[in-house]
Amino acid sequence: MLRSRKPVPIAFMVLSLLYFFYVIGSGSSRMIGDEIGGDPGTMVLPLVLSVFMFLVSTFLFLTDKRQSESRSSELGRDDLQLLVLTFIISIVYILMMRTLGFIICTVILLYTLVFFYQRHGIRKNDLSVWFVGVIVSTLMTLGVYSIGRTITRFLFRISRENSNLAWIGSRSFTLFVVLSVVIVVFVVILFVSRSFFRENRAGDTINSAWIACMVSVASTELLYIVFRQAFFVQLAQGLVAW
Amino acid sequence: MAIGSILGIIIGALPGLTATMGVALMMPISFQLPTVTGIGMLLAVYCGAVAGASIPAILLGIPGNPNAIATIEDGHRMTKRGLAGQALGGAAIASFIGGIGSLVFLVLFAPMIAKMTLAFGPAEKATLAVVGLTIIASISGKNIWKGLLTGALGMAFALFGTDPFSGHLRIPFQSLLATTPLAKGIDLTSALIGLFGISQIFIDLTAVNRKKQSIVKTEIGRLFPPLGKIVSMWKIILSSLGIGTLIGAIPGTGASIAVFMAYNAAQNIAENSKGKLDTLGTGVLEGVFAPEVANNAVTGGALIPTLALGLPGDAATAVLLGALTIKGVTPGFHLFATNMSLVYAIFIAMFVANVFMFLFHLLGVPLYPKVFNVPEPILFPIVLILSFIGSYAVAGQAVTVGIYNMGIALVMGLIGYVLRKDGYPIPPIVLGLILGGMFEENFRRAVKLAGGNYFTFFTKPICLLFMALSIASIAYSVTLRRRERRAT
Repeated sequence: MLRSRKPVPIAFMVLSLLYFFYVIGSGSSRMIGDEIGGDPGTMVLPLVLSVFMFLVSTFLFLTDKRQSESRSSELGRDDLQLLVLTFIISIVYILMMRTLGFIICTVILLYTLVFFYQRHGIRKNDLSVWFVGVIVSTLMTLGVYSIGRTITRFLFRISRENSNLAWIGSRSFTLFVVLSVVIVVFVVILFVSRSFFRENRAGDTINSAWIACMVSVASTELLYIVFRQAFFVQLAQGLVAW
Repeated sequence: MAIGSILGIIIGALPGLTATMGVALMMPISFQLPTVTGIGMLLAVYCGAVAGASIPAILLGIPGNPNAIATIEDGHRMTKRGLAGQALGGAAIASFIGGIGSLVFLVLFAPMIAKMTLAFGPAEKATLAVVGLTIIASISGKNIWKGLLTGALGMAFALFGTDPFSGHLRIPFQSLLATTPLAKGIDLTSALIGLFGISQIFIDLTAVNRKKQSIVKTEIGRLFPPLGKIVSMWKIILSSLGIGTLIGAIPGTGASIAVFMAYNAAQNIAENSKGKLDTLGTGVLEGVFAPEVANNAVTGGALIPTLALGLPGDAATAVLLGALTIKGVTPGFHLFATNMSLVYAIFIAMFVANVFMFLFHLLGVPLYPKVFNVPEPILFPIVLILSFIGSYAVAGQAVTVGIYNMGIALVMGLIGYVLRKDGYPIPPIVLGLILGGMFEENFRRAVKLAGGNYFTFFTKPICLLFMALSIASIAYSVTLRRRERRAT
C-alpha cells in the first residue's frame, strides 16, 4: 500500500504528530500582565495547526496516489551526483564561512560547482584537474582582492592626511576606483590566459577548469565589492585578515 | 532621485536585498540632502525596489522580494514562451500605473481612507490574514488541500521563535538553540530565498546534463505589449489598483496580501470576460499586470497611514517614518493641518519617483534577458551563491546571524525542493510565514479584548465579510477543480 503513496503526506503526518506532542509538552504561557485573563495563550494556535496538518495530510495520504509516470521522472545517476554535490558543498560552505572567510569559501564553492556542472557529473579522471584549479582560483582571487584592498587603504590614507582631498576617501569614489582597477586586472588575466586554455589547444577538462576559474574569480570579487564596499555588509573575514 | 531609482531597481532585483533594506541603507545619504530631496530619494529607492523585484521573478522564477511572488506564475511562463520582453515591459508599465494610480488615491482620498482603516481592529486584521491564506491556497496548484497544508506549515514556521507577548520560547532543543539567532524565529527573507531560489536550482539541475535543451528561450520578442491589450485589461487594472491601495493603507499589512488578492480578482474577471481576456496561470500578460499594479499601488497606499496617522503601512514605510522623524517631521493630523506644503512636496516627489522608476525599468529591459546567454553550468552556481549572500546580507553587520540565515535558506531550499517535486505549492508557505505572526498577534489581542470570548469574530461585520470571502474562495476552488476533473 505504501509503494503507491507519495512520501510527503507521510512526512507531514509524522511531523504534525511530533509537533502536537511538542506543543503539549512545552505548555502554555500568557501575556505578561494578563491578571484579568482572556489571553488564549501560546498553545492554542500551534495546537490547532498541528491537528489541522495531521488531518489534511491523512486525507492526502489516502487520496493522493503516486502516478506510474512519476517513477520515470526520477533523477539519473549524474543528476543525483550533482544534486548531492551541491547540497554537501553548500553545507560545507556555511559551516566553514566563519573559519575560512567569505573570499575563500565563495571561490571554492563557485569553482567546484561550475567545473563539475560543465563536466556533467563527478569523474575520477577530473579530480586532479579540479584540485589544481581550486588552488589556482583561490590564489588568483586573493591576489585580486589584495590589489583592491591596497588601493582602498591608500585612498583612505590620502583622504585622512589631506582635508582638501577628503572626497577621495568617500564610499562612491573608492568603489569606482577599486571596481575599475579590478575589472582591468581581470580582463588582462582573461585575455592572457585565454590563448593558452582555449578548447582547441587544451583538453576539454582543462578548458572547463579555466572557465570555472575565471567565473569564480570574477564573481567572488564582484560580490565582495558590491556587498562589502557598496552596501557595507560585514562579510566574514576568516583567514583573510588583511 | 534618478540615482535612487536605479539603485532601487538593482536592490529590488537582487534576491536578499529588499526594499526595506534599500531604504535603510540610503537613509544616511538622505540625511545629507535637504528634507524633500532626501525623502524623495528614499521614495525613489522604495518604488524602484518594489518594481525591480519583478525582474528576477519573470526571468528566473525567483522573486526579488515577497512582493513579486505572484508575478512568477505567469511572468516566468511568458519567459519560457519567448515573451520575456513583453513580460518585463508589461511589468514596468503596470508598476507605473499602480504607482501613479495609488498616488491619485493618496492625494484625493487620503483623509477618507485613513478614517476607514481606523475601523480595522485586531479581529479584522486576524480574519484578513485568514482571507489572504485561503485565497493563496485556492489559487496555488491543482489541489487546494495541498495549498492549505503548506499554508499551515508556513504558519507553524512563523510561530517558531519567541512569543511576542510573553517571551516564551517556542523552539525545540532549547538548551542548544536558545542562545542562537534561531531563538528570534525564522528570518523571512532567508526562507523566501531558500524556498524559491535554492529549491529552483535543485529542480533545474537536470537541465545542466541536457546539453541541447535550454530551460528558457533567449528570444525576447517585442518589448511593449500591444496598447489594445493593455486597454482591454482596464477592469483588472482598476481592481488591482483598488486592492493594492486599500491593503497598503492598512497599517502593518504590506504588498504580500495585496498581490495575491489582486491575482485572484483578476482570475475571476478573466473567467467572466467571455474570452476577451486570457486565463491566468497559463503565461499571460493579465497574470503579470494584476500583481504588479497591486504591489506598486501599495506604495502609495502605505503612505496614507504613514503620513496621516504616523503608522507605517509596511516595513519600508516604517523606515521612511523613522527618516521623517529624524528630519523633524511629525506625521499625523498635525502635519496635514500645519505643513501642507511639505505634504504636497512629498506627493510630487512620489510622482517623480514613479516616472524615474518607469523610465529606468523600461530602458533596462533589453539588458535584463542577457542573463540567459549565460550557460546553465555557469548561471546556476552564481544564482546559488547570490541566494546565499542575499540571505547573509539581511543580517548586515552580524556575521553569526548571517551564517544562520544561510542555513535557514539551505534548509528551506531542501524543503521547497521536496515539496515541489511532489506537487505541493510554495507560495502558501511564504504567505503563512508572513501572516502567521500577524494572525496570532491579532487573534490573541482580539480574544483578550473580548475578555476571552472566541466568538467575538462572529459579532463584527467586517470579520464576517472576510470569513465569508474565505469560505467562498475555498468552495469556488473545490467546485472549479471538480468541474475540471469531470471535463477531463
